[in-house]
Amino acid sequence: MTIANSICIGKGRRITLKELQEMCLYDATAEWFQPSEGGDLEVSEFFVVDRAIMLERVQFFHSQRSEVEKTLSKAETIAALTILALGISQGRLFPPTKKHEEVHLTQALLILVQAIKRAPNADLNLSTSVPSFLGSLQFFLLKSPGKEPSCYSHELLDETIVHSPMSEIVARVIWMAQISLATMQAYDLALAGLVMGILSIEREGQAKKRLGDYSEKKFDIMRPHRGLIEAATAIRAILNGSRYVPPNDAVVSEEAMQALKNLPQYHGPAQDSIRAAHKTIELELNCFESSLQDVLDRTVAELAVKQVQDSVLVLSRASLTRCNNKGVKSTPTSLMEAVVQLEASLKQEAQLDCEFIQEQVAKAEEESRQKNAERAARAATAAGTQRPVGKDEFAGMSAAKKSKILEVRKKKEANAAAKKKVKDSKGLSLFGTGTQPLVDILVKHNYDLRNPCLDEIQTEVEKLLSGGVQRKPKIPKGTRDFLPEQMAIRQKAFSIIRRVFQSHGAVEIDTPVFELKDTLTGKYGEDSKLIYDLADQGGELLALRYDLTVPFARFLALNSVGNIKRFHIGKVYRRDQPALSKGRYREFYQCDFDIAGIYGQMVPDSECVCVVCEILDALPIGNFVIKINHRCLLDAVLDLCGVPAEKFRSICSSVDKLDKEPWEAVKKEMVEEKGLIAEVADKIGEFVLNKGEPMTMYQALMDSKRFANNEGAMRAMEDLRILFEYLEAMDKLKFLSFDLSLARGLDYYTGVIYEAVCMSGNTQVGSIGGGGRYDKLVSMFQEAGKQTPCVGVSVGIERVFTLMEAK
Amino acid sequence: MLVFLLPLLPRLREEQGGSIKQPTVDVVVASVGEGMLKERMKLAKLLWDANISSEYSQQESPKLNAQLRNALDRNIPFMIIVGEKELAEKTCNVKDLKASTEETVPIANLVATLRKMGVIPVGCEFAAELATKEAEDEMTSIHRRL
Repeated sequence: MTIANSICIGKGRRITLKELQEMCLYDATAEWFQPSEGGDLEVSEFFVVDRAIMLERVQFFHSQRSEVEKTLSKAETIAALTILALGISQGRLFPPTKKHEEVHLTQALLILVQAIKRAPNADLNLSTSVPSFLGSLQFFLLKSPGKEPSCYSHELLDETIVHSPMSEIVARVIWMAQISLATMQAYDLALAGLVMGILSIEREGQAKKRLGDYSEKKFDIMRPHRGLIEAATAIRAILNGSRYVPPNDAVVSEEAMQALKNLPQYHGPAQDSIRAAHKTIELELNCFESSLQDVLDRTVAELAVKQVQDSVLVLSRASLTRCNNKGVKSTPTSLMEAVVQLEASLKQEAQLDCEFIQEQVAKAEEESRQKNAERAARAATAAGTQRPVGKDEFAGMSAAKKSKILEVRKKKEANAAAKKKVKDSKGLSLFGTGTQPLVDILVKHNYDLRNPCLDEIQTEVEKLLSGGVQRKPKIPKGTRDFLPEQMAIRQKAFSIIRRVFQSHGAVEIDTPVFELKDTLTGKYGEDSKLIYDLADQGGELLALRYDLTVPFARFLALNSVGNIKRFHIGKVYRRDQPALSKGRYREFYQCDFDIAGIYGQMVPDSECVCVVCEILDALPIGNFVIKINHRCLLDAVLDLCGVPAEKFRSICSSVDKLDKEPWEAVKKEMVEEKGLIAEVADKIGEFVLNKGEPMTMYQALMDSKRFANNEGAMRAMEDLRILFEYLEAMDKLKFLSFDLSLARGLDYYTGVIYEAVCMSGNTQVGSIGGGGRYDKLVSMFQEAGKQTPCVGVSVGIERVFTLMEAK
Repeated sequence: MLVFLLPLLPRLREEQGGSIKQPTVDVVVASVGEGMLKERMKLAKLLWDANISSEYSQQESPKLNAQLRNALDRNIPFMIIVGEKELAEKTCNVKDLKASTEETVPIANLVATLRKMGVIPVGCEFAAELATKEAEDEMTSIHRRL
């Protein structure tokens, strides 16, 4: 990562730990980014204070500085000043309430920025205690030459703050500065630790044998923890091709051997937890009190610091062990100390490793040179015997023939030379592909484990990981690439679908692929666990959309578009177990058609079913059937059979499996896993095994009076009757099958539900779409009392692709 | 029927600044009288099968006036009206809302009539545009040659 040389601070601007570090340790400078409106920087007379009085005050503070106080390092001083300036520039520490106060702040800020700019060249080591921190700061500002603004009347620099909450705020700023820098250093050193560990594996000389310990199988599959996988991958990439074997085994102790073997197992998690804490602290760095009366609680940062400290301790102990160091391992009392310790031990290890590796490489080079010399000598003698000097072997040949022979011979020699060159370069790479460049970097910077050395190491490791022959390209599980021919098929399918949607007068919308996590949670029932959660980005908690329906409901509640008939074609994400043969992917397209608003009974519902029929009829996928049922009917069935209300949903999901499993298996699941009484299960079976032609089924059910007078069931049956009549009018009834076992897993359906399945003869080969009525979903996002009834259908296109490709 | 309203409404709308809304369909299927929803559905199905974009009111028995106002509001160019009388004769009324004309056609000829009046099937808009332009170019070149 490269950082610009000047780093802006200003309103709405966050700085990262990396930037802070650049500013404090390296040559980046701070610039105050001033918003365009309202900030003329002229120092008004009103704020100019007598310089002499100020000096007097400052000296008072300065004199109070006690001998035992700890001073901050220069870097920490700059960090503290930067954080202070950051807070003021955000308008937080002293929220400006009046115009003149704003000017005040501007001036305070200018002073600070100037101090930060000058600090690298000045002897500015402020104290850790608040009064002398502020005192010395003022002293520094006053005694410095130049024509900087001479207004120090701001309360920031006033002695009264020493006794106000302000002092605690400044104390926090000082503390934040210290831990921020230490965390950032720990973050950098964590990678260096891994590199040193890898070089130590080379030193141990078992890299070739060891690769099994870091294998893909052992981590990616058997122990798929993120940190472990990353560390193991890096080890594999760097050590690839290493073939150094030590003459005798006893180079390292048993203990060190163990530490090397387990390198990913402690290094991965430690690096992971430092990374997590780094994120927390970076966020905390940009948080400020909203007023002088408020002091932020430190727990968040303290916990993160503890985490970093523990991880750093693990790393530094491991490093010492790898160096065969049995010396006293002292326990550091603070993060700052721990980081210093880690740096020292890693430096020691780096030196040990690099010197060893260089030595071995030199030895190998020497050997190969000797071998080459021998070989050359042998070749010379051989040539001597073969081709006696002075004798013209071409005697009696024509000039053309002679030149031809010479040319062939030349080519042969060139080939042999090229081969030899390849062999030679191979002969030199005694160690892994990544080892030599890393050693070179470390030696070049004289084992100085800071930037730019660490930056170069990071770049090198990234280079090794990202490319080369070592890494087989992989595609994430459950996803696929589309080749041009497949895209052509997809395009064709989309144009058919789009055409049907448009002929029904639907308008197209789009929504983001990710939503706030709480938008999605609690809408999908048992399927909620399949939602893709995005890792914490240090801000909003986000998740990838699971379908297009819930985002649509959110869209309706947010945009108050009123009645709308919309379609939406987009990718959705489910962390399901992929089954590619069935067209079940983790990323796939859905084509949704929904109607929102209050309309005639079942009118929009029938149009949705009509749309899905038209689409499936137009796509070249063969026969299909639309299974139809009503959520209330299902509830009534379960109620009539005596299923307790709290088991409705889980029994529903069992019933839903009837299309894939025989009744016996489903019954077994209901009785044994979900704890239903066998007779109740049998009763359910009597109902849900019914399916058939809609009108006949309807009549049969009504005639049998099996629903007695269950109110919900009667209303549901009436809904279905109307729906069937409308679909009859649109000539779509022929595709329908009234199926009492259809349940649809998702929680949000409230009315009629349907599912489109592909048929091959009389057997069902997979679901390609479905939908239903969800009257209450939108109101989950709206203020109480409002309701936007909706009904929709969604076509899962992946299955359609598979079917179309097969043709 | 309420034909007398037709020339009036667009003018009113123009005075109010006109509508910038793009119509989402070419044809609205409307009905007169109670319980004609299924008839509207049947006609719409006919049009959907011919790839002509069409819609009907989602209410069971909407007033003709409301259906008309809605169509004009949304700038929809054509409207089909069916009532008891038309149902019995297997015909329907086709209104061109832009030109304010109306004609009665047998349902069997409905799609052909609409196509003749300039309704382009969904997804063929660009092809139709291209064809028109090519025909025009042809005509100009013929004129020039003459």
